[in-house]
Amino acid sequence: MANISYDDAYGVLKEIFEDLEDDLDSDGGELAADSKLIDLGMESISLVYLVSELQQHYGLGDALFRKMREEDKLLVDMSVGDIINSVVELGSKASA
Amino acid sequence: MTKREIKTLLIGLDGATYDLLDPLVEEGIMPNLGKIMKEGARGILKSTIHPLTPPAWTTMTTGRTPGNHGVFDFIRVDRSGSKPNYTLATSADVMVPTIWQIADREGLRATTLNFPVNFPAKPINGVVIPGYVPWSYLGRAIHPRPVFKMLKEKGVFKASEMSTDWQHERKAVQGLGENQLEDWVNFHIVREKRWQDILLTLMEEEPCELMAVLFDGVDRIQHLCYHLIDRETRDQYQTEDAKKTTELALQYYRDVDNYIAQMIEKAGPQAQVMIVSDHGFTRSGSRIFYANTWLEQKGWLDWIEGTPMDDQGRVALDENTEASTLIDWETTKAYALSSSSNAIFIRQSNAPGEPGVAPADYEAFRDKMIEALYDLKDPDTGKPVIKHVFKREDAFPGAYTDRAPDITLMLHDYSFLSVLRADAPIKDRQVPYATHHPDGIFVATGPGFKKETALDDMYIADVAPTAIYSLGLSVPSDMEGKVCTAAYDDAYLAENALTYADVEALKGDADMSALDAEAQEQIKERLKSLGYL
Ligand SMILES: [Zn+2]
Repeated sequence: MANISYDDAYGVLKEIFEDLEDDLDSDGGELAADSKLIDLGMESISLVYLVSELQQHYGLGDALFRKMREEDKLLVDMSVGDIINSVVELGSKASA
Repeated sequence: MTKREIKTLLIGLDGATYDLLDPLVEEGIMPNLGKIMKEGARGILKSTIHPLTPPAWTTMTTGRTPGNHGVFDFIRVDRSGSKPNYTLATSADVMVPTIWQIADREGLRATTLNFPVNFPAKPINGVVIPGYVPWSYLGRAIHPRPVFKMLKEKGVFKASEMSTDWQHERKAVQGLGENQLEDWVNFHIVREKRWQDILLTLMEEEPCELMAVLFDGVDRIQHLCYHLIDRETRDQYQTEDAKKTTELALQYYRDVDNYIAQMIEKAGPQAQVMIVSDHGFTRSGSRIFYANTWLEQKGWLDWIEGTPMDDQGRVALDENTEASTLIDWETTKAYALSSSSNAIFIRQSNAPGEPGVAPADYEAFRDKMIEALYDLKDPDTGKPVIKHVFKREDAFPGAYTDRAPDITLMLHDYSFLSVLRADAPIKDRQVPYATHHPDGIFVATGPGFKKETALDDMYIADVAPTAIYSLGLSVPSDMEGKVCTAAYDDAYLAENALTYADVEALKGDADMSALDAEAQEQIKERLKSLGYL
């Protein structure tokens, strides 16, 4: 698997939130790196689906969930930047 | 391009049981289903060992038993770390191809609406809208993207009305007050209408040879309202709320009956139609088994300090708190994580001194627990609580047995256990509740199917190969169910030879050998000996 760039992962996340924009009543503005995921209009359970989709998109198996568990991170505490950085980090590990 | 015709229409009614459907037909509430059941072929469809929605539908749509498809519950438990963890089961946990993927592989198109463990969608030529996706993610879950846009443009996609509201759902597992039941039924009336609109739109816009839809309001409504639907008991509930709920619930079945007629009509006269349920339903008994509380009494589980006692007849927590956060992982040896799985996990210590049972003691420990479970009697009635205890290697043999819980329980009244702490392991239930029963339904109608035929009991794994045969494809040789040839008339069988596809050639890795007739017999025998068939 190739390296994952921050911009690429940001693009994927952006596309997800654009698709959901009407349902979430969000304004579809920029995703700020320090925005908490939970503040973007989803139910907390949907964040689990978000992670599943990112894992599938990048062929990460369940590495993203595992990483969060190992680091004792809760989805509701994570920011846009946190999740993107986690994906980028896993990408570089897998291709190293 | 000529327009594709629907060859096979699979209509799922989650939790549908003849015990309710037959009387509803008699009362004139489901005339269309009544006609189909009378004029077509019908039989009991035996569910998976532990008749639960995700493993059962996965068996239905893969033709493989849970030990081979890998799905045992709504959650996937990971025991590799120092304490058990779990996440929601996803499509990545389904380790074998579904009928939709098989159809796709053979150059056909397939549509699947609202089936569990289908998220994230595995891309196929056709349409996937997975079930059990929260409303705030459903739009994103649709494959392919242009279909999402098309459904939005046509105004038939309304996420908040179609999808699972997990907060709502969690509450509902516990039972609702009588005055909340109307809302619950109404929610599902609207919801099924949405799925029906989407299905009819897709039949028009995206025709596929295989179309499958799952109406799961049947299950959701029956859990809480069975007593108000069942002709035997509904007259005992005479409050205004109860009467209103009964009316609405009957309206729900009337709607579903209409939808069935509409979709069969729309599918066209060439379509073979199968109406199936993943399990049946029955009233729960009046008592709740608190499995973790029982384990605590046995000295095999400890609660963390301050864990509250349940005094409301609940089976799980309804906030975002998971049962695993209540358990002391320093000392606990055995635990139940979900009510739905009716399962107990045994913890094996990785090294001396670590919590759990030493691997050398595992068998003896498990046998002792099983014996104690069979011995367990309700102190109020003196009757045994547990009907069957299944060891995982007996109930779920296959490539993924190690993902299964160590033991799975079938309670005498088919109830789900509670994972909560209580002051006694068996306590009274506080609101009427209904639960899953192993006997689901199979009804077949359309060209090629026998008329006015009562079928012998079928096994849920038989539906996938039957669907594949119905599509005119060769049945993968590793499917554990077999084609329900008894449902087809002789002329059809003669004209449409049943052939098998060697899956080894397709797969490359030879981890599993094809099941021959003898192996299939063995599986049947095992199910029989477990009291299951
Ligand atoms: Zn079900």
